[in-house]
Amino acid sequence: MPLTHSRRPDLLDPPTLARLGGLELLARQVVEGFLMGLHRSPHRGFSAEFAELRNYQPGDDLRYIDWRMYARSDRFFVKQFEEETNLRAHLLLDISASMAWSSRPDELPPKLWYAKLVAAALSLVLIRQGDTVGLTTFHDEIVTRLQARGGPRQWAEIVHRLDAAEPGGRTRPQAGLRDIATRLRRRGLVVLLSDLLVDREETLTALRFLRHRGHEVLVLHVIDPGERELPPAADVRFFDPESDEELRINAADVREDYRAAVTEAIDEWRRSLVPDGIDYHVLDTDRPLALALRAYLRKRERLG
Amino acid sequence: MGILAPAGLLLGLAIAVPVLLHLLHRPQRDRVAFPALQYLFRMERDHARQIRMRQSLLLALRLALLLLLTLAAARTVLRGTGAAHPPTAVVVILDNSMSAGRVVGDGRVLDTLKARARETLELAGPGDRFWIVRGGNAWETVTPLAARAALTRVAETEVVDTRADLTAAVARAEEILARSGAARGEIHLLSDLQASALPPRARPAAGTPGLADAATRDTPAPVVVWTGSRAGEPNGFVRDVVLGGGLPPRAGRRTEVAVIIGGEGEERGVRLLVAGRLEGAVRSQPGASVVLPAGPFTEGPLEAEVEIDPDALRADDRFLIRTDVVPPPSVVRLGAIGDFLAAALDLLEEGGRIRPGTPTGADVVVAADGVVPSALAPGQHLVVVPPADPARRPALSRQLAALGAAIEIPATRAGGSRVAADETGSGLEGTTVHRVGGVVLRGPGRAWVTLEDGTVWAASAPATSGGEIVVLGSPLDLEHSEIPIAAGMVPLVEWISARGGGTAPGRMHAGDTLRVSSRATAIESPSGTRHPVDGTLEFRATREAGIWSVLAGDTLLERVALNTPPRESLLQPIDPSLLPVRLGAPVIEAATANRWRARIFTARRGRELWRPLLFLAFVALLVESWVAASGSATPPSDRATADDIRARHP
Repeated sequence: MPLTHSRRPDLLDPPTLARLGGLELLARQVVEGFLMGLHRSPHRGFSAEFAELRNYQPGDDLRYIDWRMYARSDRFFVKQFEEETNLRAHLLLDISASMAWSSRPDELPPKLWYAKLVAAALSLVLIRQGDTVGLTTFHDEIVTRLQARGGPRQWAEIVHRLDAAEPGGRTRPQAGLRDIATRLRRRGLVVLLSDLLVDREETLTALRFLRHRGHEVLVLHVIDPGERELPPAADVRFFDPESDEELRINAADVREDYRAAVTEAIDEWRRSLVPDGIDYHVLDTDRPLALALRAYLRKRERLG
Repeated sequence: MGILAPAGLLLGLAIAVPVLLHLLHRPQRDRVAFPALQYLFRMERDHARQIRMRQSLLLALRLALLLLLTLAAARTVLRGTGAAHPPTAVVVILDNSMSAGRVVGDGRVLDTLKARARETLELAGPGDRFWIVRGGNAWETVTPLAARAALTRVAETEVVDTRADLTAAVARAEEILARSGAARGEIHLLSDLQASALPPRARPAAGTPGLADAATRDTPAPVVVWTGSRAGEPNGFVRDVVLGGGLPPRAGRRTEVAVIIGGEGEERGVRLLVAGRLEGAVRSQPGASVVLPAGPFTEGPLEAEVEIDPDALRADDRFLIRTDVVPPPSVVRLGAIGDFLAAALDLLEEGGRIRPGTPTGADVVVAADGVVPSALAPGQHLVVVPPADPARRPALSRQLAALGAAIEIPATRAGGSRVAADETGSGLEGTTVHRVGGVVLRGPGRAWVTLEDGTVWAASAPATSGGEIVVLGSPLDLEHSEIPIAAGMVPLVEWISARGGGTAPGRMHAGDTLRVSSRATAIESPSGTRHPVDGTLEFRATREAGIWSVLAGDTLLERVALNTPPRESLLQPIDPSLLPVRLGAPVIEAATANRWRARIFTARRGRELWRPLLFLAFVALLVESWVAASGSATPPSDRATADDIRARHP
C-alpha cells in the first residue's frame, strides 16, 4: 500500500509510531516517509556513481527507477550509486537515567526511545547520503563508541548499538564531547541528543570547544511534555532519579512559575548556543520525528 | 463586639478538627520521580521570595476565611450606643457615702458617679425598671422607678456622712432582682471602691430564707462596676477624741482632751473649740495623738468640737463632743465591799470625783456580800457585787427582781476565762477571771463585759425606781479575778460610780440608729431639719455628722453627737481583681465613660454582622482563588490524586 501523507511514519505521533515495530524498521519507515516528502520538495543534490540495482521501496526517488529493467522484468528496480562521502557525522546520545523517564508511561515513550529513533533515522539519512556516521553513547562516562563509517553495515551496527543501550548513570556530556573533539581529525557534524539536564556551564564550554575546533554542532534537546508542566498532584515530594535529590513543594502553588522557569531555561540554551553557530532544536517526545529530521536537513543544507 | 450564638464558635473548632486530623494522619508525602528537578531548583532560586509571599498570603487568606465564617456563624453583633436591649431590671448602687464627697479636680467623686448613673438611665429602654440604692443611705427603702423618676432620684442624691457597705448593697440588689420577677437583671455599682466598704461577703446559712445568694442562682445578675474613680490619695481625719480619759467632765475641774489624728499626709493644725470659742490649738502629724487641756467647765451640757486643717475630704476633718458637765456623784457603800473596791472608791473620793452619800440620798448605792436595799430612791442607781458563796446568789437574784431588774446571778460556778469585750471603756480586755458565776439577763438590759467563753460578767438593767442596776459576775477580790489589780480597776469603779453622775460621751457615728425615749416626738438634724419619731422609737436616717436633738414637742430631751465613721476615712481603693470574691457575683469592670456605656446592658443587641462577614468571606475566597490560580495553571478538576501520579511515575 502506498504511503499517503497522512500515514507517513515520520509524521506520525510517537505513541502511534511506537506501536508499529522495532527500531530498525521504524527508522527505515520514518526515513523513507521523510524522503518521500522531500521528493516533492525542491531539495535535491546527491551525486553518486552507479553501483547496483535493488528492489524499489516506497519513498525511493522515482528518478532512480531503472525503466529498462522494468521493461524487461515488469518490476521496479532502483539504481544504487557508489556514494561520495562528503560529511563525517557523529551522533552523541545521552543514555543517562533521566532519559528513561516518561511523564505518561502508558501513552508516551521515554525520551531515550525517542532519541534512539531520531539517532537511527538520522544515521540512515546520513548513510544514504553517502556520509559516514559514528555513534557515542554516554551518561557520566562514555558507554559505547563507534567510529564513523558509511554503508548499510554501519547503519545496522548503529541500530544494534542503539538497541543495546541501557539507561543509567548521571548526565555528563562533556566527557563525550571532549572525546569526540580529540578523535575527529576532520571537521564534521556533531549531533548531541540529550535532555540537557546537565551542568550548563560545563556543557556549554565543551560544545563551544567543538565549535572552536571547526565542527558543526547540532543540539537536539529532547523534552518530555511532562517536563514542561508540573504533574497535576499538589502534595508530593519530587526526586531526581539520577541524583536522588529531593524537593518538597506544593506543585499547585508554583505551577505557573515552574512553566516560566522551563521556558526561560530553554531560551537560555538558545541564547547561549545560537550566537556561537550551534544549532539548537527542542524535540518534544509527543511531536513527530519529521521535525528532528528537518532540523538536520536545514543544517545539512548550510553545510553544502 | 458581642456573640449571640456562642455555639457558632464551635464551628471554628469543627473546622479545625478535619484540619488537625489531616495533619495528624497525613501520610508521608508521595515521592515522585521527576528528572527535571533542576528546573524546580531554578524556579525556587528565581522566585523564592515571591513564592513565600504568595504562600503566606494564601495562608492568611484561608485563616481569615475560616475566622470570618466562624464569626458569622456565631452571629457576631456590633455593640453600640443607642442599640435596643430586652427589658431589664437594673439596680443602680450609687455610693453617696462620705468618701464620695472627696474633691477631685473641679468636682466631687459623687458628681462623676452621678454622671455614670445618668448614662445608664439615658440608655434605658421602655421596658426597663430601675431601683436606685444609695450606698450611704442604708435605711432607705427602694421602689422600682421609671427612667425619668430614677433620673430625678439620682439628681437629688447628695453626699452623706455615713459609711457604705457595698457588699451588703449588692446582696440587697440581688434580692431586689430576685423578687422583681424580671427575666433579665443587672446591677450597676457606682462607687470609689474603698476597700473598707467591701467586706468579704458572708454566705447565708443553709436554709436561711430571704437573701438570695448569687452563687446559688442559675444565672447570677452581672455586676457592672465603675472602676474609674478608684484613685486614692492621702487623707487626714480626726479618728477619735477622748474627753477626760473617757470619764465625764466634772463641774469646776479641769480636764484633758486627747485627739487622735488618723490617716496620712502632712502635718495639720488641730483646734479645740468649745461653744464656738477656741480653747486650744496644736499641730500634729496624722497618725499621732495630741492632748489639749480644757476647762474648768460649769455644770451643765458641754458641746465642743475638734477640727483639723481641711483636705480634699472635708467631712471627717472635725469631731463633735456632746456631754454633760456634772457634779461628782454621791456614793454609799453597803455590806462588805472588799478591800480593793473600797480602796478604789477612796481614791476617787480623794480626787474629788465622787462624794460620800447616804443610803437614801446617794446617787449610787454600791452593795456587796448580798446586802441589797429593799427599795431604791427615785433615780437612784444600784451596783451589786455578788457574794462569794454561790448558795446566797439565788436569794440575791430574787431581791433584784423585786427591785424591777430582770437579772439572774446563777448559783453555778464556771471555770476561768478572759475578758473578751469591755464596753465600759475601762480597758479590761484580756484580764483573767478565775471563777465566775456570771450574770444572765432575763429581760431588758445590756451586757457590758463579756468573757471569752461567752459568759456575761457585768450587765445592767433598768430598775422600777427609774435608776439602773448594775450587777457584776464575781466579787472584786484576787480569789475570783485579776481585775482588782488590773489597770482598769479604778476606771471600772469610776464607770460604776458614774451611773449616778452623768455619762461619758458615747461613740456614735452618722448612720447609726438613734434610740430615743418614748416621750420624743421629733428629731432635729444638725442642719435643722425635723423628722417625726415613729412608733419604733428608733431613728435610722442619721445622715449628717453633728449634734442631733431629740425633742418632745418644743422641749429638748437630749442632744447626741454623731461623728463620721473612721473606716470611711480610710481612702484605700480595693484591687479590682478581688471584686468577684468580695461581691460574690460576676463582675464586669468599666474604667472609662465609653467603656461604661459599652458594657452596661450586657444583653444589648447591636447590629448583626453576619452579612458583612459573609461578604468579606466571599471576597477573601475570591482573592484566595485568584492568588492560588496565579501559581497554578491547572484547573482543580484536572488535578489528579497522588495515587494517580505514583501510578504513572513509578
